[in-house]
Amino acid sequence: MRKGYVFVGLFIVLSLLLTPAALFAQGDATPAASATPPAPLSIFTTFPSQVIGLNENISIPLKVRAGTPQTVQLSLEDVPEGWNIFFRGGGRNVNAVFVDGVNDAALDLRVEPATTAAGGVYNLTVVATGEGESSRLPLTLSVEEKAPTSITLETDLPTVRGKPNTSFRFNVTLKNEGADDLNVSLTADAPQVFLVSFSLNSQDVTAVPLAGGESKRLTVEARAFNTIAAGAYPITINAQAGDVAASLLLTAEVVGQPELTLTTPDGRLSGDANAGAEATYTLVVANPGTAPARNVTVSASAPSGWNTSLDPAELPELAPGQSVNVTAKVTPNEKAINGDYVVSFTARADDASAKSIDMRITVTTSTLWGIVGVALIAVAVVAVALAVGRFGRR
Amino acid sequence: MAQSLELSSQPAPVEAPARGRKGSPWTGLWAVVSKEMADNLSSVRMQILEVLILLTAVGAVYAVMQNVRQTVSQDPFIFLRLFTTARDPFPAFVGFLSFLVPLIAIAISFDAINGEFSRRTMSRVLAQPIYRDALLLGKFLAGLFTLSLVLTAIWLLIMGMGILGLGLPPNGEEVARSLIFLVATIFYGGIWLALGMVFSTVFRQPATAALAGLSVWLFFTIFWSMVTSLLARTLSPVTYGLPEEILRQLQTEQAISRLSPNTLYVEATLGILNPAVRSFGILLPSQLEGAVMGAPLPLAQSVLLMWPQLTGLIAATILLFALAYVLFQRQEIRA
Repeated sequence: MRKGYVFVGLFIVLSLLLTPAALFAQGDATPAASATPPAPLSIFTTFPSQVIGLNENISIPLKVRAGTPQTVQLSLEDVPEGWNIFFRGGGRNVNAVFVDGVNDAALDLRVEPATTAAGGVYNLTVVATGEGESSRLPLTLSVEEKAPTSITLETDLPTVRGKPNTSFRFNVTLKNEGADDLNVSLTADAPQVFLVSFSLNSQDVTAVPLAGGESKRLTVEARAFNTIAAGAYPITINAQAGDVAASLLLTAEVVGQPELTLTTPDGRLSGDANAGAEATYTLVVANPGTAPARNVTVSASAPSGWNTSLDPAELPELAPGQSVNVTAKVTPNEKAINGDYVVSFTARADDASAKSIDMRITVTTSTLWGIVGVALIAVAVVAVALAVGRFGRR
Repeated sequence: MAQSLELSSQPAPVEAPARGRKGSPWTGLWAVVSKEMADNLSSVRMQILEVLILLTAVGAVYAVMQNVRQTVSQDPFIFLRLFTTARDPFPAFVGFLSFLVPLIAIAISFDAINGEFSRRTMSRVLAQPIYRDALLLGKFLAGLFTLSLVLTAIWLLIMGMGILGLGLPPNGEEVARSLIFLVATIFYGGIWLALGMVFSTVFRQPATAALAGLSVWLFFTIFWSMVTSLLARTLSPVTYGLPEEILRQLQTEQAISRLSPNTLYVEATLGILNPAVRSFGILLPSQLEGAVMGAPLPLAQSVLLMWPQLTGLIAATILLFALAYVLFQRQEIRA
């Protein structure tokens, strides 16, 4: 092959010297066939030195050229140990090729490296033996181990602070360090109270396809199922593709938040009261939040002329999860007409939203006037009885 | 009532044994009651009045049904609406009752005593072992029972038509409220019954007694409101136009108007048939602060609200009967 090039190059130099420049474009090959004696047998390929991967099978296209028609025998020399190399032509394994002297014969060299082949440079020689002449084609195959397949996960901000009801967002970069395309599946190890989701371009994903060398920015969102205690919660996210994996430790730092609830022990928000008489109700103030509520005050708003008192009306601190019974004493106005009234109770704290309940109080008036009515009837009956006693039995 | 009277009259023989009274004054009471009831129920005037009331009941329920079918909102006391809803041209059934019941009561009782005189049967009746006490009470009770019978029949009719027309049974509170309404209606009739009896004792002519009873009824129905406002203006005049003065005048007017049995009856029925009614008096805005408007009162509270009116009706019935009794006992009957 190299000889062929040398020959052609020499010819070009000669023709440059012998012919005018105008003929150069067309006249570089055709005059060679006619102007020279029959070409010698040659076997060549375009890329005689190639780099192949581990366990990669390749086919190297070969061409055989000869000046006269002849059958050319093909053979191999210096075959590396364990390698499986053979010639392919017309869909079969071949050992010889016929060259008609005008056109080049084409065939493939099939190279199957040994499965145990390590990286390195391997040489072999293809020998074409014709009628009285032969040609040698040395081939160099560099077996290289490819860039190792690996993925990485990175983030700039591995710790995020937030309230229990916020969602914790982490921006994570997932990169395919290898050359192969990968389909990376994503999982997370988080405390049970967290729901972790991955999103790419604001769409939830569980697997991401990555081309070799590509990187993508993912958003990891961790949301607590319910109110959780203050503290740092580790969230480990794992990326896995085949047998390569990467993991990253993220931390959701939950800060405490007080919360207030106000209700009654049985949840009933109605009650009875006699006009002018004190009625007692029990309220429950609780802090279901994650931090102590400070300066809790309970107040009542009742129609004018009503007396309300709360015990205790103020609590310096209410620990998370703690609940306190508040006794509310409500005295309706003496002149209140019977029926339903609304009394509002409100619980406030320094750093929690106030909670308010409306209690429906049915005011009943005293039955004293009912007894007076009965007495009136009794007086009437006595009047009849006296009349009967005075005038009876005539 | 007869039994309680019997008990309370036990000490009488001890107090005045010298008069020679023996036995119970109520001997023969139930004989009088049954005879009078039979007379009342078979009399033509009763039948005319029964037909009148029946027609009003059917008309009122029919009108209410038309109304109810066009309404889609929920109403927990729909059976009470049968009594209280007015729809042109029909007034509400309670409105009918407030002037029909006095008519029936006066029609039953206007000739109770003087009728016996004009038929010259009084001496014959009292020749039997029956005291005057038993005769008068028997006639009164017979009238009251007749009235109760008619009104209960109409009540059942309205409830039955309501169940048929509405397709649902009344709940316990509706039944209780409408039964108390029935009791109030019976004693409202009882007042006019006792009044008719007073007039039939006083006047010897049945026509005079009937006219006197009807004029009292007319007076309370039509003229009493005029008299009330006139009296209120005289008794508590508004001199400077102060709110206190106006309030006092309104309260005086209400107090005077409650002397009329019509007012008592209307307020009692309003209180028991409309659970949302909380008060009959004048309410200041301060009293309504924080109140949940339209919320129904519990049954006991509604009864408590109309209890003065109900006891007033009952007491007035008894006192008027006592008046008739005293007048009758003092009367010369040997005509």
